[in-house]
Parts: sequence; structure tokens; C-alpha cells
Amino acid sequence: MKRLFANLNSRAIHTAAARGLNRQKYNLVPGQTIHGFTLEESKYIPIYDMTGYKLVHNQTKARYIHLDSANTDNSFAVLFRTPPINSTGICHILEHLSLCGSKKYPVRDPFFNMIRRSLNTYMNAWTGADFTMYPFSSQNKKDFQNLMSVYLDATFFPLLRHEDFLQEGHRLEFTPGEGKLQVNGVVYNEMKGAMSNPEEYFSLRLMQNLFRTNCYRFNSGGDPAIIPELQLEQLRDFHSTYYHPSNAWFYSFGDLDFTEHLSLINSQVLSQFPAAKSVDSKIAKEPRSTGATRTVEERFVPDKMRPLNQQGKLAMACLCDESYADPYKSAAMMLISKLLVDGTSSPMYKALVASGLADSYCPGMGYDLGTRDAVFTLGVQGSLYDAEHLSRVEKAITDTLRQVREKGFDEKSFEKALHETLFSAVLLAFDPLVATNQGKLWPEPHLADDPPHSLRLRPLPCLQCHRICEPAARGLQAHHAFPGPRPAVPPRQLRKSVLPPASHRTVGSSSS
Amino acid sequence: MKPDEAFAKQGVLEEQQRVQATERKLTENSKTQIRQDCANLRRRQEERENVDVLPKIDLADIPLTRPYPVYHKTKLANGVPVWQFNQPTNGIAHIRIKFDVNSLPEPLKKYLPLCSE
Repeated sequence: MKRLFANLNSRAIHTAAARGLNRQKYNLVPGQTIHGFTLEESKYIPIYDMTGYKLVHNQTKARYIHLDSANTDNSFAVLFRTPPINSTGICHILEHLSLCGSKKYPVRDPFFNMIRRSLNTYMNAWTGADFTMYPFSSQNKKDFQNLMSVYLDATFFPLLRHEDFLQEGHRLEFTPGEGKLQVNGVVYNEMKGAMSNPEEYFSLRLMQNLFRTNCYRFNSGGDPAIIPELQLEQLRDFHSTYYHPSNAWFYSFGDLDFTEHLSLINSQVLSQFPAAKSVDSKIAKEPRSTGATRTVEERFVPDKMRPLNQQGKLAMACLCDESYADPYKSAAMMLISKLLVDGTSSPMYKALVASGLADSYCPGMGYDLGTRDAVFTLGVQGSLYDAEHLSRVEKAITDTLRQVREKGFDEKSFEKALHETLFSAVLLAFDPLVATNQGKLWPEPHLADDPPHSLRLRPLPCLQCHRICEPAARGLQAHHAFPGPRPAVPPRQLRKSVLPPASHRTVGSSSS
Repeated sequence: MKPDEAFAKQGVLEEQQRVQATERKLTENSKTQIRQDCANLRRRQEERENVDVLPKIDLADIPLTRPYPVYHKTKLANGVPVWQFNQPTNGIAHIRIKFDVNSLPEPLKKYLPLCSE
């Protein structure tokens, strides 16, 4: 026993030595091939003290991004671009079903079993409007590799059994007593619940009214009225089309040697796919309507906990530019949104809520980059009495927009918003690990085109924030409020000023 | 968008109608199939299975020690000990100061929250 412990100890010390700040260094150069992947680009990201590596798999064209960090919590995700082809919930049911047993791990519920038998710090899977993502994280190397193996097998080689489809998707059954026919199923019931949630239903219908031709017109979670039309065969076809390495994005983050991840993915998955496949999963741009503004009135299932007359919702929304196509523009729009609607002193809040016109903002207020075409939403919810009241709200929104366009934002608010944005980006209260697990740091899949894709992370909280900082600096320097780009910020200026570009600062050192 | 109780009822009614329409189309064979499917599903849900095909970690995979962060220990002029840990803070200084409030008269203590967050 004693000897065993001695062995363990020496091993532990050896493992610990290669982690965190003392982790291995990579000597990779662009163009170099490693475990079937070619390194396309690597870049140091000073704001998070991370180095990004972008690779593409030679044979299948699968994309891989690793973020090398001293953080000993490591995360991994595989993501597929899955534009829904109807409202049967095909992507959502597939997400559930792929976690119901796979070739190498043929157990009913590998996901929840692994939650219990691993040291994971995070495990999840979810279906977005245009992608499906499977992330996890763990601090332990062996555990990380175990989870990776389970996740890879679940997504690329799921069994997709008939019984699991009945359980997770939909089935007909006779009630035990009366023998009454009913529809049952995990996703079926989940979506019935979601559709009677006023906020969720409002956001869904708003999206469906804005996007009338591309994949966002479908309910990616599944419409309970349509879910029963889905056949298992269609689900299997969908899997073989979209869960292919050529339509996959792999992401990893942390201090573990990512070339070992590459090796595992290559040997367990990618080597079993002989060639790249052309997968048409691109999300089409929504054509802009040229006619007048469309007005749609919808009904929804009320919230039982509140009086009916306090539950009205009104939104004015429009499609904007393509999300992140120009990161600078997207970041600027985020800032405009912040200035326009955030906080009690913003013009929209004053006009709509502080004025007593409405109780609160509607769900999804402001600028949203979650779809290929970004969406701007302005609206309210609460007591909306009649048509006359609605038109007063509409007028308040358009009047406020007009005023802002004519007069601009006041300089103090602009400085404050810009400072807050940049400050929160560098504050590290924004945890890259959490962001990684939630998919917030990765390029949106609807942007990531076929290779070569870009090692461009999302602008906000922003790695591109210095891009917005520079022109703003030029504009504001005249007012002596903004320090121009310089090697470091003198501490006494920090409180009043906007931070200088990230690329001009050193990380991990407090002096210039 | 308007809250509408009738809309909620309509949703329930429509679901019933869909099920009824399906039921009308059922043959004896398909009814047997439904019962069979449900029985198979139940059997599968109750099956005991060998979850040990799933990987797990052993004690040997967990390091017994954790590296302690590197720090410097110094003292202020008045002898107060200071432990210093380097952190990458992106150039931002964070400071938290604690005061001894024992000398504050008791009746004033209730106003202390006004001076903090």
C-alpha cells in the first residue's frame, strides 16, 4: 500500500508540473501537418493571454480551433451547423437521441451516466436556431479524454434506435385506465411547455415574422402540432447529412496538450470518413422587403399568475446588416443598442417606461446577433389597453429614434458606454471558460464559411474592441477624455478614461 | 401580441382533434403495433444494463497534490504581513480594504451599509 502511494505521488508531481503556467509550449508553424490536420493560423490574443490555433482536417475538411490558456479547466465542444428543414423539431430530437447510446458506448443514457461517473465541471448539449452544440469541461486529463471519447462517439456514431425515438421524440400510446389515445415524448412535451411560455412564444413568433424565407422561419425546437409527422428514417438521413466531419466545428480551450485531442479525434472519428463531403448547410440571407412596414397581431397562452390585462406585448423589429460580417460595425451597433436602451437614463427607457407609457421592455430588446441577419427589436410589455395606447407606444419609439438620429447621444453617455464595454471586456470577470462552454466565444457557425474560415472570435465582449476604440479615440481626443494608444494606462487616468487598445497593453504586468 | 385564454383552449382542442383524427385512421394492426412499441419501450427502460462499458477515472488518474500558487511574502513598515500573488489583470488595479469598525459608536453602525456597496 505504501509503495502504491509512493508511485502515485511521483506520478502526480509529474502531471502537475506540466499544467497551468508550466504547460507544454507548442512549436507549430502554419502549413505544418499534425495528426491529419494542417495548422492554418495561430495568433496570440493578449486580452485573455491565450493563443488561438486554427486547423483544418486534410481529409474531411473538419475545422478545429484551440485556445491555449493557463487555465487548468479545459473545455471541448463539437458543433454542427443544422439549419432546420421543417418544424418537426428534427434537430432538437436528434440532439436528444444522439445522447441515447452509441456504437462504442451502447447504454441508454451515456450522458447522465457520465455526469455521475466523471469529474466534469460542465456538461451540456443544445439546439440553436441554426446549429447543434455539445460542450463539456473537466480539469482532469484522463477525465477530459474519457468525456471526449463519449461525446465523439455519441455525435458521430449514435445508434438512433427506434425505442429511443419513441421515448425522446414522439409516440402514440393508450392511457393505462381508459385506453385513451394520446401523444407522448420528451421533446413533444418539452415543446408544448415552451409554446405556452409567453416570452418564448413571443420571441419565436417575432423571429418567424422577420425571417419568412430562410431556415429561421421554422421552429427549431419543434412545433407540437408538427412533431408527430417526423419519421425515424428522416432523422437518420438528417444525421448522416449534417453530422458529418465536413459540417463539423471542433473547439477546445485550456492548458492540456491539444495535439493529443487532435490525435484522438483523428483516430476515433475522422479516419473513418474517407473523404470530404459537400454539405449544404449555409444559411441564406433573408431578402429585404421593399414594401411598407408589416403589422402582425398574434395571440398567446396567458401567464396564469398575472391579470390578463397586464400581459400585452408589442415590438417593432427590423433586420439589420449581416451579423459580424464587419466586426467593427457589429460592435458599433452593440454600442448603439446599449446607449439606446440600457439603463434608466437611456432615451428608450425614459420614453417608454419612465414616462409611465408601459410597464417594461419586451423580450429580446435591443440588437441581437444570434441569427445570420442581425435583428434590432424595440418594444414593451405589460398593460397595453387599446389600439390608441399601442399607437402611442409606436410613436414614442419612432420619435425617440428620430431625436437620437438628429441630436446623437450625449457625449458623457457615449464615453460611459464605451468605457463600460471595453472595461468589461478586459476585466476578466468575463470568464473565457464559461464563454467557451456557452459557445459565446466561438465564431457563430452561420458566419463560419467553408474553409478557410477565420480565426475571428466574436467582437463583444470583444477581442476586436480596440478596433472600435481607435476611431473613437480620434473622435474623442479633442475633448481630452480619451488617452490615445500608448503602451500602458497610467492608473490615475483609468477611472475617467476609456482603456487603450488591448494590443498596446501588456498582460500580467501592472507597469508600462 | 395579446394574451388570450381562448387561444390556450383552442391549442388543447386542436391537439385532441389531431389525436382523434389519427385514432380514426388506426387499424387493428396499428393498434397492436402501438401497444407492442410501448411495451418494448417500457422493457427497454427497465432493462438493467452494463454501464461499465463507459470509461471512468481511477484514483491513479487524480494527482494527489495540487501545485500551490507562487507567492511572495513581505511585511509592511508596521509589521503587517503581506502575501503577494501575481495575477494577469489586464492592467486593471483591484483593491479591497477592510477597516476595523470597533471604535465606531454603536448607534452609528446601522448607517455603515450606506458607505458600502
